[in-house]
Amino acid sequence: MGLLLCPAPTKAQAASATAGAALGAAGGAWLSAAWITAEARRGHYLHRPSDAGFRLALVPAGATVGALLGYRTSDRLWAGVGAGALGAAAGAGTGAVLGLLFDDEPEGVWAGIIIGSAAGLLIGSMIGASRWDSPVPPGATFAFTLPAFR
Amino acid sequence: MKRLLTAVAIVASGCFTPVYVAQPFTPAPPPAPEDVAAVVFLVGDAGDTPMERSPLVHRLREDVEEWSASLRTDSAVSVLFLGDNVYPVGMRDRSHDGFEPDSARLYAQVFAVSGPEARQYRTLGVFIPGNHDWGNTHGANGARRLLNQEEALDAHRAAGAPVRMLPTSGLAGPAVLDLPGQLRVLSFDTEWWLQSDEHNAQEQALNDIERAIAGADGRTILFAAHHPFMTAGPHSGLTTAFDPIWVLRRAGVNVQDVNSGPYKALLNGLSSVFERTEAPLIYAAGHDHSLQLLAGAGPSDPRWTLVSGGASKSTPVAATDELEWASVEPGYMRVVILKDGGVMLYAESAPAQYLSCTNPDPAPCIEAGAAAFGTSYSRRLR
Repeated sequence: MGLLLCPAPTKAQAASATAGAALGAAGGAWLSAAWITAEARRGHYLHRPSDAGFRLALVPAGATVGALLGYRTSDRLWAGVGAGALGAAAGAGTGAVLGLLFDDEPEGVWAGIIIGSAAGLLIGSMIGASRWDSPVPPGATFAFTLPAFR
Repeated sequence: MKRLLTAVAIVASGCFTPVYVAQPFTPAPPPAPEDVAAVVFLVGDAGDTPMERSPLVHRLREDVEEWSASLRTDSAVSVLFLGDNVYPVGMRDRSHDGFEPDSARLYAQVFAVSGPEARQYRTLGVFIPGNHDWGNTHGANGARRLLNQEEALDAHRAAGAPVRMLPTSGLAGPAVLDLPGQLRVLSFDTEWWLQSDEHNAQEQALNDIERAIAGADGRTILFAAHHPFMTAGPHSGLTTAFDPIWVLRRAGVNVQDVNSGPYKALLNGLSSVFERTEAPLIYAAGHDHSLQLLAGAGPSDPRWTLVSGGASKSTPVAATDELEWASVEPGYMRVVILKDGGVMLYAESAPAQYLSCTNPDPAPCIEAGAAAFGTSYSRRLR
């Protein structure tokens, strides 16, 4: 018989975890939208909203990651959010232009925005959350450490 | 830089479209029955108009009876149910708990076209498949739902109600109906197209449409389907109000929207047929839950697109260049073919409160609602 004992979260941890869950869910929803859009561009369209199915699993997955990050280190959460937002904005712009290059219909631009911003969001938030307080070796301009190895 | 500006312009113009505001118009005079060769009622998205809640089916039945008695000519009156005849997921199997309510939803429409005058003068009740009749899904399950609906309509016809599904379930069409007044109706299953991935079968369907138009021999063409040729409703991908999936719709992800790949392929195919032969005077459809009159812009567009999908639901309409008139009130349309070749449009609607009578005792509401229907718009189409 074993008993797992966890200390009760502080108020700050609870607030940070709640914010992380909400932001993570929103990010997951956006990644789901990008997944659905990418599939539609390949000919697999939504016939009804429920066709989104398992692609929506990214919403609870995002919420879980966000909540864990907020619970453990709110600094990492906000670094991830900030970098994710920057990445999304850059990705949206890039996606819009690429969408126009590959498809001169408005749908191509919108698809580019959705997919590009989701890619930027994912990459930016991963770098931001990982890089926080990473020591930068002398001579390097960029460094990050995966959380699993910290 | 130019491409970036173009992308910004597309995004800015796609975020929000102003909602349509009704403009004043000059009503067309009501036709004298002796001048009328045929009357076609256009009723779309009537799949949630149960008799005990919907004033519309009662008023429609009154109108059908009145016109059938006035014209006193076989098949001079017809009612085109423009798809989504059974909400929410088509006609389920007899063994399913949903079979009974599904049957009631379908019967309400059969009731509207099976009064004594309608039966005597062989008024036609034509049911065209919509995406919800295909189960609002795709694949074999959807085809089964459509077959169930067709079998139910066949049973009603065997009992004397002049109703049938056209085109036959699972076929694209067009089914051709030549009616009095030199009117040729082409009934086409656009949901079949959206579900089909067989290019050859789609080409064959377009060839059949071309032959039916080319062989019309001077008749007026009315093309009838569930999905509209153009629309200013939510299925256009335009946004007039908050829509949780608006950005996905802008990207053409929903196959039911005009801007999705398969839908655009359908419209391009029809446009090329219309350009080679002759564009129909009227393209009648439902799908968006409103009444709309849209004008074609070129030789490959139908002269008029009529969206009559407001029988049991209501959704907003955006102000677009093509839109001549719209209403979000519950209603249906009536196309009148005159003996002199003229074609008139009358839109019949009632205040929004009569979309559905949900009171514990709905009878007074249904009576008042049926009486509240009136001609909200009219004009000469030719």
